Amino acid sequence: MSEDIAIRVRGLKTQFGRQVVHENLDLDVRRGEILGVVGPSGCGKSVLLREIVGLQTPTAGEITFPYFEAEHREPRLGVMFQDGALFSNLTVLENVEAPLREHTQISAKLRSEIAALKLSMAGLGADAHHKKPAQISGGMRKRAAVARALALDPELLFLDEPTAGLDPIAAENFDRMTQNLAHSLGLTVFLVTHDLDTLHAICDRVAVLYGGKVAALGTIEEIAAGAKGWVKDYFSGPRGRAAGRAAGG
Amino acid sequence: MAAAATFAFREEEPAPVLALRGDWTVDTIAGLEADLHAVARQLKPGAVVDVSELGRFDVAGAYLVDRTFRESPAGGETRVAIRGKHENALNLLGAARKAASAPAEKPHGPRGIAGFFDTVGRMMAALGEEIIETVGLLGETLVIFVNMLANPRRIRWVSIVHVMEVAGLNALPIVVILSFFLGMVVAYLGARILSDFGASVFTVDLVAFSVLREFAVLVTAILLAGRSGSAFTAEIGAMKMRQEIDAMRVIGINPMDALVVPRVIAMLVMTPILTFAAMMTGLCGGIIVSWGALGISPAMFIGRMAEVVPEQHFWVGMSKAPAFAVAVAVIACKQGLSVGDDVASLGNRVTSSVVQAIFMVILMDALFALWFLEMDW
Repeated sequence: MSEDIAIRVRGLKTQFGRQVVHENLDLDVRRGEILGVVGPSGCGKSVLLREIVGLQTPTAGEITFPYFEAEHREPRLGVMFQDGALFSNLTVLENVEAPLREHTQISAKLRSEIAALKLSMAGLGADAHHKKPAQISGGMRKRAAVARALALDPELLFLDEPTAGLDPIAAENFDRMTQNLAHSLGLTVFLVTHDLDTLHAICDRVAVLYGGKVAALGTIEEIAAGAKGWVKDYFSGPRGRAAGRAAGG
Repeated sequence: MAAAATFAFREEEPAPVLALRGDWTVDTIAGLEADLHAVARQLKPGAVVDVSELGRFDVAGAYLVDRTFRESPAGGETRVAIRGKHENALNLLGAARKAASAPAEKPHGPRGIAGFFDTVGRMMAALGEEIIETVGLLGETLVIFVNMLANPRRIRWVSIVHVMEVAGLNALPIVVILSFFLGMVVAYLGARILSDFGASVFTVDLVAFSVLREFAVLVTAILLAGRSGSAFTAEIGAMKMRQEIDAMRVIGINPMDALVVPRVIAMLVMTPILTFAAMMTGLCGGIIVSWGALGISPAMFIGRMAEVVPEQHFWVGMSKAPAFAVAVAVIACKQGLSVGDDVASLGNRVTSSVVQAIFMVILMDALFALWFLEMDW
């Protein structure tokens, strides 16, 4: 059913000079799922994310949002960049307020209350509200970045390497938070990651990008079962096996 | 298209009903606050939210509904009960209640007269620290420079030559053009004022004195502060932010050797050369105006200059160039090394670099003027 597809990518081609990053890439993201996107470094995961959110124009192919087009509206997007990309001259609370200030007519009081709510949903307490991004830890910056991405209640949430650089406990908490938010808010999440634990723990489906295409797509068990070549190395290396064991119990 | 958010409040038995209609999203709820505030006072324990006619709903909408209930006389203890079917209303109301958190009070320092003194005190302390650190860096640079002379293998020729090209040679066009215009302006001034006294030939003296002693070296130093000093600060500051300087230290490269000293040496070499070029084009500007406006031919101009302007004025001007060069380069590098982790500090430091360098150049020029006057040079 095309109505249940949140993001549809067809025949995507991306080329930088002579270097072809994507060639005839097709991908469907279902509404309400958490899709993990993996692949070797330099395979164009982040480029794909940038193209879907509209920061970059693909060389050829099309990217559509069928579910939202059926309702004749554009989906709201929220993006969390790798190191947060918080505005460094604003406080954490002001960072989350910024999209609200720009796009709504909500009163200042309600705006700061909604921002505080989003920060609390992302797991940040009131003590961080008036700190500058440079004054808080990397893990807190990522949470603040998620809160900013959620500020306008997006339907599609894009996360670029959300757990990179976090310690295992913080990464696990972050994963759980992502999952809770996705379920309670009904988000569709497009998650670029290298973290095998994240794939096992929270992703409904996983897409493997390899050689410019989606080399495999399915639940992590399906992919691991039918894995060949690079995909096999990825999931059955020591890290892949450990993550699988941890998730299996 | 989004349907406008409205609501109806009905007194029913056993409890009042708040019926939500239309889309309650972050785009549509802006006008509802005041009306909901009025309703909050009438909500009794057990009040129900009717969501059967609710369209799209999001966290902001849920928060507003939940806040209304929390503001009611019954307070935040009552759970928000729902009537009717909606795909995510229950989830969102639950999430909003669970995460509700008031924004923290903005911290502020002392206010009023105490705040004024607080600010001034901090500024003075920062100024003192800044001076000590800059002088410290100057001393460190000198020590390393002397060490390098004793041990020439430590000198980084490639960096020095690179900076000489980028920060010095590439500044040549702008320096000579500006100095040329400045020479013209001085000659025009002389022509205007001195011809009233029938002493227009003294324009030559005016141009030669001012360009050789002051303007050439000043315009060069100020342009280098604005052009090359700011670039030094931005480069070193960006390296600091990206931890490249930490990486250098760990590898065992002294950032002073690799970044600061080459820049100071390059400026030390290039500033006198640029100053010389500025002197020559400044005089050219003066010659052209004197020729056009006063009929003093270039040969006559140069002849008179040789006659009445002693060579020492040239050396007075040139002697200031190395001092200005060191001041600009050291201030720029110091500010670059003081950049913190955030973008705002980079902007502040580049501003400080240019402001302090130009301030220092003019202050030093005034001191030089005083000294040369006393020495009767």
